[in-house]
Amino acid sequence: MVGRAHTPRPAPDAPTSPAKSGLPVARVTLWGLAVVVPLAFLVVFFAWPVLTLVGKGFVADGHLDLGGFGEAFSTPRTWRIVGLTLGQAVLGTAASVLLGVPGAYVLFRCRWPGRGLVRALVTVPFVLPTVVVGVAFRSLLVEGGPLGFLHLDGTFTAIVLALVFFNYTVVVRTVGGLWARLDPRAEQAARALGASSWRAFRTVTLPALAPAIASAASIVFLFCATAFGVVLVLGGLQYGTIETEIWIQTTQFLDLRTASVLSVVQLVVVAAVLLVASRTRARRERALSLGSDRASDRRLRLWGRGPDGTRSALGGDLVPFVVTAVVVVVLLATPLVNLLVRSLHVDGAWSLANYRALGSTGDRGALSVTVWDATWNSVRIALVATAIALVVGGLVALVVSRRPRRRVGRRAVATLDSLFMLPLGVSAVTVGFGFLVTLDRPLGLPVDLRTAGLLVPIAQAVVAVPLVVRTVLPVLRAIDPRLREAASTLGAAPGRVLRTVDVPLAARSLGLAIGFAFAASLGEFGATSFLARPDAATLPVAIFDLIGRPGQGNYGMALAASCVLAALTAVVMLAAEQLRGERDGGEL
Amino acid sequence: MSEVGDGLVVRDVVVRYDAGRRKAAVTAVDGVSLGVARGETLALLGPSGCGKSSLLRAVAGLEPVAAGRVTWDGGDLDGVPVHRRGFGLMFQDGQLFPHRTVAGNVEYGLRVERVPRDARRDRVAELLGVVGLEGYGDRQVATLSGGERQRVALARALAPRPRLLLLDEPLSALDRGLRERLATDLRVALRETGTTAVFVTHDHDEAFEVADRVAVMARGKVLQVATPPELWRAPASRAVAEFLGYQAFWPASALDPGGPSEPGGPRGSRGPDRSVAVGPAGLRVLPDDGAAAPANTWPATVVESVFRPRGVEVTLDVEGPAGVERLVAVAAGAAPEPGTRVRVALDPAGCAVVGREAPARQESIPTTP
Amino acid sequence: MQHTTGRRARSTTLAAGTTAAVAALTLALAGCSSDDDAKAAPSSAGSSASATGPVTLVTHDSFSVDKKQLAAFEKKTGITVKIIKQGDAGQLTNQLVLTKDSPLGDAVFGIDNTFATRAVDAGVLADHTPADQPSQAAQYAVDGSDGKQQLTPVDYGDVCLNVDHAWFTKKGVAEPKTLDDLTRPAYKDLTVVENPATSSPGLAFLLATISAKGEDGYLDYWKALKANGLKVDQGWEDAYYTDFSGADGKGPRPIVLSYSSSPAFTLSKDKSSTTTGALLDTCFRQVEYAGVLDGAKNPAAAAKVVDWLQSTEVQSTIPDLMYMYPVNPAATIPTAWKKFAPLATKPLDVPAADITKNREAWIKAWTAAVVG
Repeated sequence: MVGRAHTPRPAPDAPTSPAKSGLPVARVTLWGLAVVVPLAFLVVFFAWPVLTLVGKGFVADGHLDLGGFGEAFSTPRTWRIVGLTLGQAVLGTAASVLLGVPGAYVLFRCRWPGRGLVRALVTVPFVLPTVVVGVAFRSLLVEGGPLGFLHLDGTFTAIVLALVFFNYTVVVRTVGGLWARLDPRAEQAARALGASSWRAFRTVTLPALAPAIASAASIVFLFCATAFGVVLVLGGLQYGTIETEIWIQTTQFLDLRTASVLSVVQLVVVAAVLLVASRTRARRERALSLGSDRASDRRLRLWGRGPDGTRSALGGDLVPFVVTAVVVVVLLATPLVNLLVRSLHVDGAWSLANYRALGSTGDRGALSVTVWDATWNSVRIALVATAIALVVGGLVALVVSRRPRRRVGRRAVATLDSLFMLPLGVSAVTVGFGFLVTLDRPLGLPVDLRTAGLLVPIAQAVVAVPLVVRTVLPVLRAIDPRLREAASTLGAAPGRVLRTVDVPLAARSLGLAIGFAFAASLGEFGATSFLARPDAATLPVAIFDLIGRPGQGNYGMALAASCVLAALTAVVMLAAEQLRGERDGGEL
Repeated sequence: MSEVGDGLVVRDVVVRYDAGRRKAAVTAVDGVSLGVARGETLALLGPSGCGKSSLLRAVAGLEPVAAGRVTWDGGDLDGVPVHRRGFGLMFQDGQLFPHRTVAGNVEYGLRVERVPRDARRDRVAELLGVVGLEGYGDRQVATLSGGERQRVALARALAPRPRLLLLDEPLSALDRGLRERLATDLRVALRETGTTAVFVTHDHDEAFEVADRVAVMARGKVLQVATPPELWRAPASRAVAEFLGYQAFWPASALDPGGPSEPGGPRGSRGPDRSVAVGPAGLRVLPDDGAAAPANTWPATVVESVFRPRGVEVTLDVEGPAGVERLVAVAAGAAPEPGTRVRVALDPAGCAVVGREAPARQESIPTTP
Repeated sequence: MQHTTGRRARSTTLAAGTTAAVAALTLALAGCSSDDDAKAAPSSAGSSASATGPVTLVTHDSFSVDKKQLAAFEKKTGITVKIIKQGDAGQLTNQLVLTKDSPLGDAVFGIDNTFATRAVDAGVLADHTPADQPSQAAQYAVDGSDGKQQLTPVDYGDVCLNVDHAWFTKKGVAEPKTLDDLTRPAYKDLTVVENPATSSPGLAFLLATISAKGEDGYLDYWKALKANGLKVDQGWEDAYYTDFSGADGKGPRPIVLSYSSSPAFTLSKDKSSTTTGALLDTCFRQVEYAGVLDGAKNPAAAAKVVDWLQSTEVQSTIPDLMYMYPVNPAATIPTAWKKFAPLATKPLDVPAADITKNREAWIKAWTAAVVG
C-alpha cells in the first residue's frame, strides 16, 4: 500500500523570535482593517451626520437645552405616536414572522416546479417605491375598488397588511436561507423518536432556526418602526409614527428641537430592540449541522399519512402550503396584478401604449430623461451601492461571525453587530439632513460630498449593509468552527481558510445578499429623496415624477414603469439565486 | 524514550477557559508534561472533561497555552500559528468539508502545499487505498456513512504527511464493531505511514489497541504514562486502576500471604498502604464442593450469568475482605444459576497491586539545553 | 521555509491592497467634486470676474428644463450648470437654511411664497434683481431686510378645488362653486383634499381657508367640512389618482384639491373639451422663486442663471415642463391652458410674512381639529 519511504511534511521552522503575544502582525493588521474599514464607513456616513443633526436640536444659543424633552413628553400626542409606532411595528413584525416562517419552509425547504419564480416574486414588493405601493394597495381598498367591501382603507389593519406586503420576503429569505442548509437528520431523528411533525418542528427545527428568525424579526421590526411612506399613504396622520413626525418636524417646520427629541426616542426604542434581538441570537448561537441544500431539499408533499395509512392534513405540508399560497396570492400577488392590469389599460381598453411610451420623456416632457435612461441610472447606482454594501457588510459579517476567546471580545463583536443595524432604525430624514450639515468637508477633506453623485449609492449602501450582514451572518455563524480548524491543521493560512471554507459555504447566502442589496438599492427612495442629488433620475424618482403630475399618459407610464421596476427586481433575484457556491471540489 | 529534542515535548502546560460571566476561569489542563518520540503513537486516555482534548488542541495550536511550553524537535511552538505547525488533526465527527467531494477533501492539504495535480491524484488514490475507500474519490461526502466519513477524515489528515497526527476521539462516534475494525485499520495506517500520533480516547481498549504508550489523565493532570502492558500490570494509583476497569480494591494485608492466589509476585508489596486491584477478569468462580474454604477464596451468591465467547461472565455478590460487593467473575464451565452459592478466587494475571493514593507520576523529561 | 515567506508576503500584499483600495476610494470621492472647486476658485475671486464657469443650481424634485435650451445657454455664456435636486419646496428651503454657512450651491429655484420669508429671514439669499425683469413679475418679488430684491419670481399657479364634470352630469347634481358649498349635505362624502402638514397644495388650501374665513373662523369651517365627510390624503398623487373620480385612477370622489391647470390635462378624446374643471373661487396662488445663494462660489454666473430662468425662451416651456404659468407675459402659453385652465381672477391670499410666522401654529391647530 504505502511502499515508499516516509517523508514527513517539511518542518516549517519555528520563527526565530517567537512573538510572546501570540498573534502575528499581519493577522492583527488584517482583522484590524476588517473592523476599521466598516466602522469608518459607519461613522462618516451615519453616526457623525446623525449625531451632528440631533446635537443641533439640543443646542440653543450655544447652550445645552434639554427642555425639548419636557415639552415633548408633556404632549399626549407624543405618547400616542410612540405607542402607535410600537404597536404597528410589533404587529407588522409578528404577522410577517408568523406568515413568513411557513413561507420559508415551502419556498426554501420543499421542491416543486415554479419555486424559483415564486421566490423572486415575493421579493418584488420589498423594492417597490411606497408611492407605487400606495397606488397598488389603495386603488384596491378604496371605496368602490375591487376590495372596497372590506372597508380597510385608511385603517390600522391596512397599514399592518402593507407592512407584511413589504417585509414578508425578508423573513422568507433570511429564515429560508438557513433552513435550506439545515441538516434534516436532526428532525428525522426526532420523528423517529415518535415526535409528531409539529412537535419535531417545534422542538428541533424551530430552535435551530431561532437565530435566523431573530435576525429577520429585528430587521422587519426596524423597517416597520421606521416605515414612512406606507404609513402616510395608507394611514394618514391619525396613525402618525415617530418617523412621520420627525419628517414633518424636520422638513416642514424645521423644528429641530422637537425632531431631535423624537430622534432620541427612536434611537432608544431601536437600541432596546437590537439589544433584545442580540441577546436572543446570542443565547441561540450554536454551530448547526449544515448540509448541502440539494441534499436537504425534499419534494413538496401535501398530505401526511395517518396511522391507518389514510391521507391526513396534519403530517404533510398542507398547512404551510395553504398559508403560503394565501399570502402569496392574496396579499402579494393581488396588488401587483392590479398594478399590471392597470398599466395595460388605456381608456378602459387593453393596450401596450403605456409601455411604448417608456421610451419617451412622458406627456409633454414630464421627465428630463426617458424611463429607460432612468432604469439604466438605477442599475448603475445599484451596482455601486451593492459593491459597497457587500464589502462593508461582508467584513462586518465576517468579524461578527467569530467568537473571540475573551468575553470583552465577544461583547465587542456583539456591539459591532448591533451598531450596523442602527441605520435601519434611524430616520432617513435625520440621516439625509445630517449629511447636509457634515459632509461639506468630510473629515476635514476639501471635498463637498453633499452634492457628489457618489453620495446616493453610499446612502443606499448604508441601508443595504444590515441586509447583507443579516443574510450572510447566520450561515457564517452556523459553520462549525472545527471545520475551520480542520483546514488550519491541513496547513491553510487564515486567508485560505476564509477562501476555501467560509466563502464557499456562505456563497449561497452571499448570492442572496447580493440580490437583496441590489434590489433594496434599486427600489430605495426614502433615503435618496432626502439627499441633494444630481439630476440623474433613477427609476423610482422617475415614477415619482410621473405620478406627481396630472395627465393621462403620465399616470399610465408611472404604472408601466413600476411594472418594469418589479420585473427588473424579479430578474435580479432570480439571477442571484443562480449564484451558487456548490462547485464540487473547486476553490473559489 | 524521547531523546533530547526529538519529537513532541509538552512541559508544564496549562490551558484555561474563560467560563463566561462572573465565573472564574476553568483550568482544563493543569501543568502537564509529556513526550512523544518520532514514529510513536501516544494515547491520551481519560474520562470526558479530564482535559485530554484541551491538551490536544493546545498542541495543535488551537488553544493558547496559559503556561508551559510545547516544543517539536526542540523548537518552541509558542507563537507558531496552527497552519505552520505541520500537525494534522482528526476530529471525532470528521468535519469533512461538505462542499467538496471525497477526493476534494483528501487533497485539501496537498493543494495548500501546491503539490502538482498528478502527484496529488496519486497521493489521494494511495490514501483512499490505505483507508479502504478505493474509487470513492468522486463521491459527495453527504452520501457517506459514519465510518466512511471517518476513513476520509483520516486520509485527509494523513495526506500532507503531517509531522504529528492528532486524533481527537476519532472512533467514538462509531458503533462497536466498526470501532474495533477501524481501530485496527488506524493502527496499521499509522504504522505503515510511520506517523507520529497523539490519540485522544476515553476507551482503554481502543487506547491499548492503537497506542505504543498510554497517558492516563484526570482533572487536568497526567496520572501515569506507560506502555499498555505496564499500565495494565502496574497502575500507578487507584484512580488509574479504576479508570482502566479494575472493579474492587482489597487491602493487601487482608490476603493470606501463603495462599495459592496471592498476586503480586516480585512486584507485590505488602505495605500497609497497598491494595490489590481486582481487574475485570481478576476473579474466577470455583465450584463450591462444600469442602473447607481454601485461603484467599470468598463465598459469593450468583446474581446472573451471561455467556461470552471467552467464557461465562458471572455477576455475583461477593462477601470479600471489604464487605459484600457486587462484582464480576469468570466461570470456566457451565453458567451457574442465579441464587447459587459459590466461591470466588483471585486470578493473579487479572489483578494488580496499587498504592492507596500514589502521587501522580510524571514522566521524566530530558531538559532542553 | 519557502512557503512560509510566501504566505507572509501575500499577507503583506493583501494589507497593501486594502490600503490602496481605501486610498483609491478617497481619491474617487475627492475626484467627484474637486474639478468643481478648482474651476470655481478663479471666478469666486470677485463679483467683477466674468460670469462664466460652473454654477450649481439647487432645486426641488419637480424642476425640469429643456435640455437643448440649457445646452445653448451653456454654450453662449460659458457657464456650466449642475442641477441638484432635493425634495419638495419645504424640504428644499429648510435644507438651505440648515446649510447657510456652507451653501449647497450657487443658485436656487423652487422656494415658494409659503416658504419665501423663512428663506429670506434666515439670510440664505443674496441680493439680486434681474436687469430686465418684467413689471408683471416684479409684483411678486420678495425683498430682503435691506429692501433689495432677493427672490426673483419665475412662475406661479393656483391651487384650487377641481370637480369631475362627468360625475356631476351623470348624477344630475349641480357642481359646487364656493368653499361654503362643500359643507352642504348635497356634497357629503364627495371631497378629498391633501394634508397641509405633508403636502404643499394642502398647505395652500389651508391658507385659502384662513384667508377666506379669517383666523377665527377657519377651524370651524374645517370642522364643518369634516362633518360633511371630508377625506384627507397625505399627498397630491394619492388624492388625485386614487380618490378622485375624474382622473385615471377612477376613484370614488368627484371633488379634489389640485391645480387650476389640472383640467388642461383631462381633455376629451377630440380635445374640444375637458372633463374636469377648477373652482376658481377656492384658489390660493403659489409663486415659485429663484435666487442667488448667499456665500455662492460663483455669484455672478449664478445671477445669470436666475436671469435666464426669467427669460422668454425658458418661460415659454414652463407650462409644459413644470405645470405652472410663466411670470413673463411675453412667454407663450399653450392653447389648452388658455381654454381650459384659466387662473383665478381674485385668488385668496395670505401675506408671506404671516405664513412664516404662523405656519406651525396653524398646521398644529388644524391637525388637532381635523385629525385629532
